[in-house]
This record gives sequence, structure tokens and C-alpha cells, in this order.
Amino acid sequence: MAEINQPSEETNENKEVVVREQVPNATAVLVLGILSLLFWCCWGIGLILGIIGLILGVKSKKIYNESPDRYSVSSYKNLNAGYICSLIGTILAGLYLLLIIIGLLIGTSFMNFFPWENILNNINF
Amino acid sequence: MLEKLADWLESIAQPCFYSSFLGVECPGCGMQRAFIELIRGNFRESLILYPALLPGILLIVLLVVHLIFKLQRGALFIKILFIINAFIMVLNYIYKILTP
Repeated sequence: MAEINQPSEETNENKEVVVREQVPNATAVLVLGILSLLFWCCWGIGLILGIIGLILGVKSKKIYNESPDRYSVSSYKNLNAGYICSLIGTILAGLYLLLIIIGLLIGTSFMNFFPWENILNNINF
Repeated sequence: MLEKLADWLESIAQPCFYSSFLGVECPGCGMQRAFIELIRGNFRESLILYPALLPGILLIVLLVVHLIFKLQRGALFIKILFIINAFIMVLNYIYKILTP
């Protein structure tokens, strides 16, 4: 990850080279967001990854908004994409966990209503 | 050689924790089998077993390419592909739950 804080060059109208930093943690938020999609069903891993991505994303967005001229636009686009991915992943993981908990709590009425025999006959990995 | 890799992967495959514990399939069920089918070269069977695996692999490849080569519209493609992927996963899960 040595390339995170290397400046990227952009030229403005006067053909001068303006050197801008990359927003901190942009790559990390992007990777966390996409990883949370692969694990959103697996016992809370997706939820944890998504929440970490969200927290890092919010912090980095605040840092960017304080001084937007200091950071490059492409890294902000990465940060935004990672933020949206983490958001969707966290929502999916949270909803699924809620569904499981509600299903376990409802208990016997859930058992009578849901076609358990069909599902139990099809257990595989 | 790929056949041997596929056979070895099949021997170390783990059953889904959810389905052995609760009896219901989780949204990721079938991903391992679909991956093994993919290594064997059967695209159609892989898609039938778990439709979201192929777009998922495409998403990871796009992520790596975007991080290395810094594509112009890379972030936009990742967002769109991510949303498509999430849709396929959710719809596939609902379909699996509702059909016997």
C-alpha cells in the first residue's frame, strides 16, 4: 500500500502542474465495501467489514470536505464508491441478521407457517 | 491438472454453517459448488447453481484492475456492478427460499 499517499499530478488552465494528495483510506474503504458483499450472509463478518468501511468512509469524507482542493478528485470518486458499497453491504447484512433473529424468536408459529419439510430435505452446502 | 485441483477443492469443501444448524439455506449457499464447477469449465452448471458467482468474480477482477491501472470511469463501473451483484444475490436467495 505504498502508493496511497503519493501525490497525483493534474494540470489546471495555466498548464501548471498541480500536485494533489490522495484522500486517506480511499482504497481501504473501497476494498472493505466490496469484501462486505462477499460475506454479508456469513455470521456477521459482512456486517463488521461494512461498519468499518462506513466509519472510515465518513471520517475520510469529512477530511475531504474540509479542504477539497488539497485532494485529487479520482481518489474521492474511489472513496465515494467504497462508501456506497459499504453502505449497501451493511444494510444487507443487518437485514439478514434481523431476519434470522426474528425467525428464531417467533419459534413454533414460524415452524408451522414455513415449509420446513421441503427445506430440510434439501440440506447441502 | 485443473481436474485434480477441482477434485481436491471438492474434498476440502465445508458445508454451510447455516444450513446444518438451522435447516435453511443462507444466501451464500452454493458458492463453493459453483466455484468448483467453474474450475471444471462448466459455465452453465455454475450459473444454475449460483448465478451471482460470475458477476462476483468479475467485480473482484474489476476492482484489482481499477486499483492497478486507475481506469477513468472505474469507480462508476464498480458501483453499477456492485448494485447488479447485490440484486442477483437477493433475488436468487428469494427464489431459492420460495421454491421447494
